Formats: sequence, structure tokens, C-alpha cells
Amino acid sequence: MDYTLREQFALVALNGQDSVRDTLAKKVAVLGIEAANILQHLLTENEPRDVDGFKIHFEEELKGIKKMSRKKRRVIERDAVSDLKDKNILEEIPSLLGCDMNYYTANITMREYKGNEDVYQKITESIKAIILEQGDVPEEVVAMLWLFRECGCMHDIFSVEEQRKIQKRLVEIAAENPIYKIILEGEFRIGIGKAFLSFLGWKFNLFKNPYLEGINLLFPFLDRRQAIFIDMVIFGTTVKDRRQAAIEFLRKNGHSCEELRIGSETMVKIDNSYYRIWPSTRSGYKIPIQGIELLPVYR
Amino acid sequence: MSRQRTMEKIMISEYVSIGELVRITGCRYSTLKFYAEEGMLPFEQEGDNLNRRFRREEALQRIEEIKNFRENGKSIPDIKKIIDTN
Repeated sequence: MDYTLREQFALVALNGQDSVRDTLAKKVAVLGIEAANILQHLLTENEPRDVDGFKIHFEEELKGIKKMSRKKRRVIERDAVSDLKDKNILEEIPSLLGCDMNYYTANITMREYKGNEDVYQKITESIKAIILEQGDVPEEVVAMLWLFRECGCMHDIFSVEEQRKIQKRLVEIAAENPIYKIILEGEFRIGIGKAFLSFLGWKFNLFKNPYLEGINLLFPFLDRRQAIFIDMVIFGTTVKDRRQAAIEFLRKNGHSCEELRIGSETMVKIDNSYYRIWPSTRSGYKIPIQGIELLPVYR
Repeated sequence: MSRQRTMEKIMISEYVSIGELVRITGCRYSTLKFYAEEGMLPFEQEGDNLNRRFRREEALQRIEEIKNFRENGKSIPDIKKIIDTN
């Protein structure tokens, strides 16, 4: 099945976002959905294209996005979600953060969007295949990469090495094609969103050094993925039993989990994202609580 | 500048790109690239950039075969041997 640019981007950008509350990450994603909608119309309606006309029109529309009200953002989110739900490719599930010991035991209900795994994989992997291979880069792919960059989704989808290659490739294709150059130079980030994205960039750079991954525990609120702790009884169990118990617990709470062995390490794929898993201890009133820690992996 | 081909067009064309194979099969790009580089997924090269293109029907059949072998517990070297002997 073919999906429009807006649908493809909405599925990827809303995946893992809080479906109940407004967050900065979701705000940027919704602005991106509107930008995808505008770009979709501009790319399909104006044939043959007048480069100057395209530039003026595109920049005007982006200015409008920057000034978008909260009310309009809610309407866009609601429309995008209902479109994707009608096609059975998006659902609302209990949030992963709600499975964290502190939230779960406090009985706090948190919900998040989850994109259909097959469609999510087809969208992201086909973009990877096109941009990382030699050959023509279709305009939809350039548009999606621009939207991913503007909304801070790059590090969710591409590894450090892939991002380097993509950056280089985008510079090349922008030099060859004036329309691609206009798209890639477009910007709709708001002030706080810019700060947020540059923070994510800084954090991402830190994570290139695996010994600093724990820093994610300090700033879970700025990322759509969260580090969580699940408590459990460990008496008479092995590490594998505990991992299985954690996976069962997450599945019971509506998450899709898959155990993956990558080299000597075991990782868990939860709702289209990868997490490192290991046994850990937290203390409550000086009493050690045994359990497992899940930490988002930055590829 | 080009546009992505629709699934309808892809499904009637003789040759497809690796990106289109990803869209049809849902396999990962890295997986298909690995199969192609290991000689398990035949391809032809065209143009100045030697872009890889795959015969659609043949490639789909081969990917399905590899998937079945994997589900039956065969390792990649075993699958390569089977494919080579056939």
C-alpha cells in the first residue's frame, strides 16, 4: 500500500510520543506533519515548477507554521492520528514510562502512540536504502530526510556513520538540484525547539562514547524514549529468567518486545526502538530493590 | 529530480531497486544489502554509477526461499551452500 508523505512522516514522528499530554517533542512533530502536508501539495500540484515561485511559496508557508497556535496544533494532531488509525497503522498503548517502577506503583496512567511495526520499518528502511545507495534520490525521500532533521528524528533512525553519509549525500544533491536546495534550507523550528534539538545533538554526541550513556537517566524528559527500571523478585532466578519476566511484563502492558542478540550483547526491541537491558538495583528507604534497567540505545 | 514509483508500478516492472525491494518485502536494507554482497541475491548493474537493480520476480522468490531456510534454522553459510549447488 502507498502512503502519502504526510502519512509516512506522521507515523514515524508520532511513534513513541505522549498521546495525552503536550510535550515539546510532540509539538515539533506536529509542526513537521503540517510541513509535510504543505510540501506534499507543493510537490504534486505545481508541475512544471518555477523555482523562484516554489521558494517564495514554501518560505511563506513555513513562516505560517512557526506561528501556529496550540489550538491548530491539536486539530492537526487529531486529524493525523484519526487518518492513521483509520488505516490501522497507529494505535494508542500504555506508555513505556508507565512501566517504570515509580510510575507503575503510583498507578499513573500514561499513554503513547505506537506505529505499526511493519509499516514503520518499510518507511525507514526504504529511505535508508535509497539515500545510502548510489542512484537517483526521489523528492519524497529528500522531503522526509529534511523533516526528520527538523524534528530531531535522525538519531532514532540512523546510526552515527549513516548520518555522516546522509549529510554528505544531501550536500551533493542540494548542489545539483535547486528545488532540493530550497527544501533542505527550509526551517520551521521555533526558538525553544531549536534549543531542544541542539541539546539532543549534544546529547547524541555524548552517547558516541558508550561510557556516558547513563546521562540519559538524568534527562529522560527531553527524549521520546525513556530509560526505565522494572522491579522484580530475583530469588532463585537466572539473568535470562529476569529478562524474560521483564519482556512478559512489557508485553502484558501492550508493548511489542523482541529479544535480539547483537554480538555478545542482548538487546530488546520495544515498539520500534532499541534498548539495552541489564540487571540493576535501586534503593527505596535504604532497602535495595532488585530489578532490570532498560536504556535507549543510540546507534 | 524524480518521484518514487507507486507500488502498483513497482509490481508490474521487470527490474526494481534495492529501496523498492525493501518496500515490497519489508526486509531491512542492511539484510538485503548483505544478501546481495554475499551473492545470495543476484543483481545487475547499470549506468555510470553502476546502480544495482534486481529482477523483481527472481529476487522476491529468492528472498522468500532465504526466509524459509532461516525459519527452518539454517545458518547463512548453509543457505549459501544450498543456493550455490542449485
